[in-house]
Amino acid sequence: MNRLGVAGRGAWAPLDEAFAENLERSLRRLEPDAMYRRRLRGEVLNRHVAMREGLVQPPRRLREMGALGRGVLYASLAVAIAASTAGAAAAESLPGDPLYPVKLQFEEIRLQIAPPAMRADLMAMALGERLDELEELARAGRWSQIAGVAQAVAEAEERLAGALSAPGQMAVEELSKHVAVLEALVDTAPAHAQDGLQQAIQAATSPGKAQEAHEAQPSRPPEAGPPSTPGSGGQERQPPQGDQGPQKAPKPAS
Amino acid sequence: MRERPLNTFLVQALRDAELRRPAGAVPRAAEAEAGVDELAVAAANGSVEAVGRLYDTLVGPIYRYVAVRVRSREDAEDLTQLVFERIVASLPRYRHQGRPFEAWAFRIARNAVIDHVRRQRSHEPLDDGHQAIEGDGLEAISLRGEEIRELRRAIALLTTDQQEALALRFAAGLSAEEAAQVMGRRAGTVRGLTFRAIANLRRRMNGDGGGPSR
Repeated sequence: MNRLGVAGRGAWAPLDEAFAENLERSLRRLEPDAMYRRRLRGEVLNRHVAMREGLVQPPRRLREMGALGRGVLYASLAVAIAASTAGAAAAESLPGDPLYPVKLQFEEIRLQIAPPAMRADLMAMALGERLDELEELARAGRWSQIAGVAQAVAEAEERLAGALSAPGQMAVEELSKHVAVLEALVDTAPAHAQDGLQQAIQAATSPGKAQEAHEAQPSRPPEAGPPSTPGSGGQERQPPQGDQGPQKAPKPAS
Repeated sequence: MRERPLNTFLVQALRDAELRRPAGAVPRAAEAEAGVDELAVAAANGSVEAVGRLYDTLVGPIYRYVAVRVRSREDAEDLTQLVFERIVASLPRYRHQGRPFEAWAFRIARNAVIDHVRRQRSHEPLDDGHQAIEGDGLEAISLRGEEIRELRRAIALLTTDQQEALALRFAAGLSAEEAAQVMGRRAGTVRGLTFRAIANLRRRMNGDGGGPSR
C-alpha cells in the first residue's frame, strides 16, 4: 500500500505518488504569521479563562432554546392540542352533553371573528346545526330536551332573519328547510315536546322574519320547503310532499 | 522562499519519485503531539495549560486547512480565529465518546469554511471559477511565486469534495479515516477523492487539463 492508502492500484503511478508528496510538502509550508499566532494564542487562553470563570457566556447556538422558550412552546402546543381535541369532541355533542356549551361557545367565537359578509352564512350554519341536533335527539328518543332545542332553533332563526339584509345561498336554504324539519318532528313528538316545536314553527313563519328570507330566495322549487304564508300557523300547514324530513323516530307510548 | 519557473513543480515531483521516502515517513502534525484526546478532556475540565497545548497542536493544521480553502491571508486568519473561538466555546460540551478530538475540531473548521464560502459566493458575481484565484491567493499567505499560484489555480478547479479531501489530508495532515470523519464520508470515498484530485491536479499542471474535473 502506498502512502495515499490505495493498495494495488495501477493508476497510482510513481509520478502521482511523488506529486502528492511534493504537494504535501508545499502545503505544509503554509504557516500562520508568528505574531498572529502568538496574539491568537493569548486571545484563546483569555477567552477560555473568561468562560470558565463565567465572565463571558458561550454563544448560544440557534437551535438551542432557553427553558422559558421551551416552556412557552410546550404550553402553546398543549393548549392547541387540547383546544383542537375539545373542539372536535364538542362538535359532535348534543344538548345535555358536557361539551355542548363548548360547542356553542366555539360557534359564537367563530361568528364574532368572521368578516361581516360571512356572518349570515355562519348563522345559517348554526341554525342547521340546531336542526340536526333536533333530529338526533328525536332519533335517540331524548324528547325531554327537544323543547329547549326548539327554542334555540327559534332564536337562531330570528337571529338569522335579522341579519338577512343580503342573504347568502346557505342562509336561504337553511331558512327554507328548517320549517319542514320542525313539522316532521311534530308528527312524531310526544305531547310534552309538541309545545316547543309549535312555538319554533310559529316563530319561523311569523311575518317579517322567515318571509324575508323566502322572498330573497331567487328560484326555490316548490318541493324544497313549505310555503311561508304570512299569518298562517304551523298547525294548519301540511308537511311538504316528497320531503318527510329525517328518519322518523318512534313515537313514545306516552 | 526560492522562486521557481512554471511547471518546476512537476520537475520536482519527478525528482522525488526517484528519491521517494518509504511509506509513512512523512510525519503528521497530529501524530507529533500524542494524547490530543486526553488534552481535550483536560481542557474541557477547565485546564488552561491543556487549552494552550491544544492550540499549539492544532493552530498549524487548522490554519493550513483554512488557507487552502479560502482566497486571502486575511480570510484565513479571521476564520482560524473564529474556529478557535468556537472550539473554546464548545469545549465544555465536548465528550470523547470514541470520536477523536481532531475530527471534532476540524468539523468546526469545515463548517466555518462552508459558511464563509457560501457568504462569499452570495456577494460576488458568477464566474467560471478562474476569477476566484486572482488577487490574494496562497502566495499572499506565506508561499510566493508562480508555482504556488499555478497550484492554487489548479486546486480551485477541482470539485468541492476533492478540494476538501486534499486540504484535510495534505494541508491539515489528517489520515483518510480522520478526514472521512470530518467530511461525514467513508474512508474509501475520501481515498478515491484524493486519488482523483491528485490525478487531476497533476494533469492540469502538466498542461493537459480540460474542463471541470470529476
